[in-house]
Amino acid sequence: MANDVFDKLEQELRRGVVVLAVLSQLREPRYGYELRQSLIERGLPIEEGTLYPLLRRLEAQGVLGSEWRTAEGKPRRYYGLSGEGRALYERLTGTWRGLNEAMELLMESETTP
Amino acid sequence: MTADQLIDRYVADVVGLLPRRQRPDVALELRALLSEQAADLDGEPAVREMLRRFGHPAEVAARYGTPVALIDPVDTRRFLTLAVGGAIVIQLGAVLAELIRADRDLGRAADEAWPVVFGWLGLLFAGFALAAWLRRRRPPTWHPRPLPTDRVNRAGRAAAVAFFVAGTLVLLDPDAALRLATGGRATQPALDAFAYDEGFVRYRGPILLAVVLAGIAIQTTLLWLGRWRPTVRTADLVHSLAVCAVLTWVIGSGPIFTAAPTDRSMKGAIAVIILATLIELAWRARRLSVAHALRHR
Repeated sequence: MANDVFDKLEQELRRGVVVLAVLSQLREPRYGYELRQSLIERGLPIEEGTLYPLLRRLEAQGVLGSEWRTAEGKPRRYYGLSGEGRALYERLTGTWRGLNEAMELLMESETTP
Repeated sequence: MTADQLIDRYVADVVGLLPRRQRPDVALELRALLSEQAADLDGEPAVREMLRRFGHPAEVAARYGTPVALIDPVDTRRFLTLAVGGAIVIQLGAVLAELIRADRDLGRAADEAWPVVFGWLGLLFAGFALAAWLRRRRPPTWHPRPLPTDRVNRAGRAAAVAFFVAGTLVLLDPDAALRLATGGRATQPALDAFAYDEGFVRYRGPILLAVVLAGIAIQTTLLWLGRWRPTVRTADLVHSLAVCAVLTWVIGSGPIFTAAPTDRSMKGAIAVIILATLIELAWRARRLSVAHALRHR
């Protein structure tokens, strides 16, 4: 029961940062598999079934741009931040830092007697 | 199945659930990504496991767009309550209709009720879907309504008591009421149409009259007190249930009037009163439960 609750809450917490994590890695164009590997290497594994549809949704919202490229004989769709996406990334980064600081303060005050 | 066939089957199942214009593009990309991942794996079982981890095709397809709920999650409880409650009322209505018929067959009631139940569910579904769509287009603003109170609208109650008394007098002597209404010009066939059945007058009539008088007494007490008290509320609730039970018994155990058309019309009206009373009881229970929750502050 406790583990179930933990898993669910942890999943929700991760879901909140997935978009920012993806945007951070798409300042340079990458294709889906490469992006996933990049996130795993930096300690944030995201399920493929979540990541690939997310890229399409962000593209539909105008946050990402994409193009097909052929590398090593295989066609791959490369995604990168659009102009609008770059502005959004800057704003979200600011929000994230603010949240991070606030959370640090909150958790410190919780542990300080 | 080979690994490639498995991937093709999976991709087909995903894109089959997407809008037509999205399909070719997503199919091409998804197949390329899955094939690249599968290239690092050894054999068909490993690919099958990879696809299992990827998620059910329906879930993956849902992630490609913004899923639209036809019935908002916020409405689900209300939808279920109305669906189940409506189905029960319709079934009860069918049973009451059978009780009225001369060739009574209670088994037939359920058969006749089911199409109406499905019609009700369809109507309810369409109504909730329309409400959800309108809410998405124009989010509503909350307007506070007056808090529920124990106070009674005295003018309304007085009118209700007067109506009940007048109705009871009419039922006590329909002949006199008809003569009064027509200025003494009522014809004999018209008077005969409202002649009570002897069995009704002997047994069911007096019991029904007692229940009606008890209702008038409760309403008069309420009018005098000016507000609901727990004892009056309990008495009113018990009385409403008793009204439903007695009225059901009255229409189900013989004629009320000797003339068949008048008898059928009266029983139909009583059936409507029973159903309306039950719906009102359910509505009142809901209001009371909300008021009760507010009192525990």
